[in-house]
Amino acid sequence: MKIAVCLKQVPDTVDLQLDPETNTLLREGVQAVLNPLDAFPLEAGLRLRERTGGTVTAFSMGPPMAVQVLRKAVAMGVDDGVLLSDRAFAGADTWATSLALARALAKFGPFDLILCGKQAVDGDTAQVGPGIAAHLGLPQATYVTGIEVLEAKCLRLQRLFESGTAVLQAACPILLTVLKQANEPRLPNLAGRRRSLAFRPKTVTAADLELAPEEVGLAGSPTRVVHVASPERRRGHLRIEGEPAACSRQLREQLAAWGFAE
Amino acid sequence: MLVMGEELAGQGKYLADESRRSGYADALVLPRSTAEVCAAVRVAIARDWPITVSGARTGIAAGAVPEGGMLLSLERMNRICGLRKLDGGRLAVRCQAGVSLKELQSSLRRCKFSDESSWEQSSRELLSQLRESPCFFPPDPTETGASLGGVVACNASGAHTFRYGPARPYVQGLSVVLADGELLELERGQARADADGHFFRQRADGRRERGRVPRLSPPSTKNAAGYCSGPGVDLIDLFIGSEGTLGVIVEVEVGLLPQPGCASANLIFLPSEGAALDLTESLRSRRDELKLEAIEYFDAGSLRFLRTLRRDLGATSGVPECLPAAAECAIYLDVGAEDDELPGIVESLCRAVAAAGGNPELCWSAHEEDERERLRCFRHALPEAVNQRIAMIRRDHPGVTKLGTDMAVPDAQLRAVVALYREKLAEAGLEYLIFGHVGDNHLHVNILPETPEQYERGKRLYLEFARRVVEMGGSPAAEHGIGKLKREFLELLAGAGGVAEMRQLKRFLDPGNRLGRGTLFA
Repeated sequence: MKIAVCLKQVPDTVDLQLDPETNTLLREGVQAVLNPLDAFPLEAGLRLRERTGGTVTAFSMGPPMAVQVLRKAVAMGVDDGVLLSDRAFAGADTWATSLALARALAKFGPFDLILCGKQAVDGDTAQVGPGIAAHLGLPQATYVTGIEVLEAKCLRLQRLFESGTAVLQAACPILLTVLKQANEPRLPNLAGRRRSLAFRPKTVTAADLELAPEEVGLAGSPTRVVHVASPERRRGHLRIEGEPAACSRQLREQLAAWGFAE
Repeated sequence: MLVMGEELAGQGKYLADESRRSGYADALVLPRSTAEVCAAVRVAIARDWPITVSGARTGIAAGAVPEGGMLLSLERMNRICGLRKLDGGRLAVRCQAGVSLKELQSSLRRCKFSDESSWEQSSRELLSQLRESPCFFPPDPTETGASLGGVVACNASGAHTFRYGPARPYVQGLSVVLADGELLELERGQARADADGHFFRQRADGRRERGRVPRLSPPSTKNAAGYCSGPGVDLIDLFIGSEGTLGVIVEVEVGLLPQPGCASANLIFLPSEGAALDLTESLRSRRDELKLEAIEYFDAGSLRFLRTLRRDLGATSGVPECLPAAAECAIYLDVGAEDDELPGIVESLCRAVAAAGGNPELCWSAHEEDERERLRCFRHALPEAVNQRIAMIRRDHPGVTKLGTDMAVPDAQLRAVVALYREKLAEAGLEYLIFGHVGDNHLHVNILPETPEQYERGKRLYLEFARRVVEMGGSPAAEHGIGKLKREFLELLAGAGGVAEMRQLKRFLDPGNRLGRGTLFA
């Protein structure tokens, strides 16, 4: 099975801060990491390859430093990586991003299976995966928690909803967005680390993908960010500290004050 | 702040430490400054109270557990006081004794100190040097909640002691309040005992008294048993590792090292214990070349224990699902190197692992912070699970405690000591696991007694191991200290004559036996 997995590099959310004036992300000194939700489709791809054979190729679009997430993927076991990097891509919204990724996937494909995370933790749109499927004219299944290979290129999928799960059968080629419930990602391995340190990605530009200037970056983006604001904080938390007996008394009183019966 | 009488009843946490032993006190004092410590010592003298010094109570030899008198907790002395440039250009940081290791490490990482606005100008000017070339404090005891005073008083070690040594060589300066309430300022290199071990103390009133440091030569291994000894000892070293018995350490100045550019944590799975010992010996001879900071061992029993933990608790166990089913044992390696050195190091590691019978495709190699955090959780899951298991056993048998050894031997004795452990434990029919600092030949044997009878058998074995380790030229108390729980090991190591010399030094500095009563000596 020929599998592709799409990865995004995002700022580490551990100590994220917003500029109080502009409400934009303060990126200075913030580590860049693999979008945590992309580790699950990556692991899903590697497990499918272990069962069915074939290859896994990782794709990422971003500045040259985004090669780091491809290196991590190589250390975990992917066979190859493609980096879409071009100043012309800057400012791309989900439409322009998914178009560029779709072109790259077509150029290096065709793939039997394209795997994406549910969403990136910096943009939170959950649109790029479905966008790629639309640009490629492929069927898609989102919120996938289970992938089973039934026979050659036929899959049984499990999708998770708030009210339950759905099981469906689908034929390849298909694009899936995979949830964190699907698996527990492996740690990179030593031999993979050796390969990753020597790894050079295939780098492609807008021109390589035959994308016109009006199709990429800001020009190719039908949406604009007009305002960014922090959401109103609706939930708080109460921390109770001290000796256990006093803590439990305080907790009991607080629960009673909130209207929970004893 | 002074807490006495009935108010003390609500302060039970101060009376126990991680040894789970609990004591009693007549008064609890929580000073904020050196002057307050001096005053507290004078109060204790006036009331004829012994004084037990306490930091973050993370010790596991009950050194901070009081046996009456004054409990002097330094937890509120938590200011980082400033930076200084040492001869040779290295930076040193001065802290009050109650600063936690975690606080110091994270402040150094961020190059930001909560008290820096109150620092002297010369200190603040060094902040830019620190930002340009980040530095760290190498000692890494597992419990990062430990206080700096405790780290120094116990000469703490950790996994990285393999590369960087224990806390001792990093201590550049100490402020110590002595048992008579006088403040002593010490700086490394300023005062040494002479070739016979003699030194002088000049008192504030002008009197000059002659003391003597113990003469015995300590083992060449890691060791945390008793006072630093030998001719020409730097007097600052007497207080490092003295476990609160010679003075109250109120401020410490520690030297820093340049932070390596990148860190790599690796778990190497191997087919046999022999393969693990082979790999350990081949790697430690290349410590500098491969920039190895730690070599740790997980034996077959440890991996079994971790697999069970994973099966019972799933992902919350901290044990990754990808733990290979076939692995017999594992070696953990920390590497601290510069970016351009890493490809060569990883290449060498792959070859060494393959030569030892391991498969590099199945070994974990964590470089990014989130990956290393997962490995850290994995490593810590084991001792925590052992403690939980013991807690379960204690429900039925409250007299049973953990029997975890803390013994190191010289390099040449590693295989002999492992063979000794295996033979004796199999003979005794006890459940156990072995893990720890194999790079320093310092393995922790954890015996898991299920009954009081097994516990007694385990204790006898523990003592036998200690005797044999001393015969091998090792230390029976390599990092956790003697405290109140392992006093018999001090005599085992130092002999009756050695202990008498240590007592003589103790009497010289603390004639009333006021400090740390019950620690080191009965």
